[in-house]
Amino acid sequence: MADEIRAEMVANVWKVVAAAGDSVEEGDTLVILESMKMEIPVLAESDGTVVELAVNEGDVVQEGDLIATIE
Amino acid sequence: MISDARATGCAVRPARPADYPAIARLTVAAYAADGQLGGEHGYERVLADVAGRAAHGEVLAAVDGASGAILGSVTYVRPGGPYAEVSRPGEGEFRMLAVDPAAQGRGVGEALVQACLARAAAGGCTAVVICARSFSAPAHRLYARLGFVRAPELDWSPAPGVELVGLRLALPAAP
Repeated sequence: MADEIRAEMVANVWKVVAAAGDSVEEGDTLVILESMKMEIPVLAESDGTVVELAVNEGDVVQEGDLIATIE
Repeated sequence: MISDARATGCAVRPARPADYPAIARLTVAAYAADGQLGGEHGYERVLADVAGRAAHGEVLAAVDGASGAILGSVTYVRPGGPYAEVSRPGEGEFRMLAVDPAAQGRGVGEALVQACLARAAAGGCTAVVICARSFSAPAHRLYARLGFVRAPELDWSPAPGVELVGLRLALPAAP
């Protein structure tokens, strides 16, 4: 089952840590957002493989935007 | 734009890559001294990434007129770029204002903000908008002295315990 990870707030994509094809475990950092005086790691919510990493460093994500898909 | 070096003993100029390590250190030190780095949401790595923000804005350095030491820094963000968070079209914004804790109280922060205001005015902006942590008394004193007023529509709390206060300074219309 695909697990879509979406942005919970408007933020700047500061670092992309994972890549499509990576195996990840629940709790692994996928990307790091920065916004409003905080660094916000976006974590894998399940074990699996990153099938899509939908953002690049320097992108601005809006609340609800897809960040990654894990299967 | 060079600030009035007689008033502060410092000059403001664009930062060079050789300045980035010193800017990273003083920015993290200043935010830590202001109590902004506690809690679960770290900000140290972002603050230390001077090269990263230099790609999306103009990083300015305040330099001691006598020794050449870097005393402080601020980033005037590119409108609409990823580091712009509270500004809308026609508004200027700066972020990551920091003065080395050992150099605070000399007007360095004011010189850096004035440099940003000059850039905004030169760019035809109608206002400069920023947000500050609610508890940062030194920041609020500085911004009030320079004429910033509360902009409650920009207030935001991105996480429990993180209260951000919006501030706005209207710029005079160009003649």
